[in-house]
Amino acid sequence: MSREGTSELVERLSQELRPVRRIPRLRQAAGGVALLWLGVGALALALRGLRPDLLQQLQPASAFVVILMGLGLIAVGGVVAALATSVPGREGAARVSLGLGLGGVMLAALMGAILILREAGPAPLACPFENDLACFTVACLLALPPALGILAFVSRGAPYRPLIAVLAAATGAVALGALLVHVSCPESNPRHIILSHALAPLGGALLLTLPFRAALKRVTGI
Amino acid sequence: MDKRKGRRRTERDAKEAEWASWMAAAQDGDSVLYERLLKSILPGLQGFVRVRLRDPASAEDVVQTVLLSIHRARHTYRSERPFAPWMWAIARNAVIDAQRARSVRRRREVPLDVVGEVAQAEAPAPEDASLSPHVSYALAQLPASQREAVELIHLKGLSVAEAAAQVGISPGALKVRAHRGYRALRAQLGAELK
Repeated sequence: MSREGTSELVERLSQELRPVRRIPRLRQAAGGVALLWLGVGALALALRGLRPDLLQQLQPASAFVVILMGLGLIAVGGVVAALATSVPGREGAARVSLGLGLGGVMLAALMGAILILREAGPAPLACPFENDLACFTVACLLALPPALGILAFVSRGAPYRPLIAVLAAATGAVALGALLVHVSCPESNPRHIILSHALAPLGGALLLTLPFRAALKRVTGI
Repeated sequence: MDKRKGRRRTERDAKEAEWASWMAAAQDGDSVLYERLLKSILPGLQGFVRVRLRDPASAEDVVQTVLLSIHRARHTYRSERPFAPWMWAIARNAVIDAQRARSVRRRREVPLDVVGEVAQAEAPAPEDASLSPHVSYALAQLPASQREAVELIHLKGLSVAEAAAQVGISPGALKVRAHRGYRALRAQLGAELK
């Protein structure tokens, strides 16, 4: 069996060379995703409206704000991690943003839950499960346009671990959706806010990662 | 000392700048500079991979994999960023993949010399070869290939190489057959074989 030597491979690769279009910068890609999200957000808020007591909720160290910040961290961390894992040499940025995302999960889910349960008092308002499902579904739907933007970049890149890239993309995108839900949903039930707002990115990641991975594999073959 | 270090750093920076400009030209389709780039990075890559894999044959395969990965991912390089971290990231990932594949292979495969040692440990010495009827019966139940291997090593006292030559298979294959035969015998007879 004859095997191509390294020198022959170098020559062959040089002969086969074609011009390529460079991948956009990370900050350009992140900016594109942010623009998509702003467009979707403007539309969603125009349809749903803001939460009536939004200004009262925006108190320092309130559960609402802590969850909002946590979701923001998950969104930034997830989106940047997905983009950075698709470019060789950006592992540092990927690790930092994954850490940010994990910090966001802790902040939104743990701190948010503790604070919201403390604020709710002994008899919180009732809330049907349909409302939980509706908010979670809206968060996932609002996540789709930014997620497609992220996946478009990932598919153009060279992700070393595609599953981690799509997991980060799904988590970050659903966090973007959950942010919009959090500022527009009038519900104050602690269970609802924890399950459908604070934990939505984790649920969305469970739901969307495999379909995203399958789509990426179909498009790129990796 | 410091001067030498400083000069080395300057040389390295100059080389990296050269690589970055060659890669940028390669992205625009300049095959001459691309070939120069690949030839220039090759010794460093080979050293990097060999130190980590310590197996020259598989190291060369991994070097080729790295070159292919660089070729496929060349559009992800941004010329405003340094070239070396981009290249080393690709090389590091290829080495990690190769190390993982090797450890998976090691877990799944039993080396032939180990099989031979096990077979020798399990086989009674030729001078103890007076078989009881139970052992003879159990031996007869073995598949022909395994029985033949056990008989040649155990009863006739041939070495693995001699037995393999007689059967017309490689010594490794014979060791595997004998090992399987001993295992089946032991399962059937329990302590009697010991």
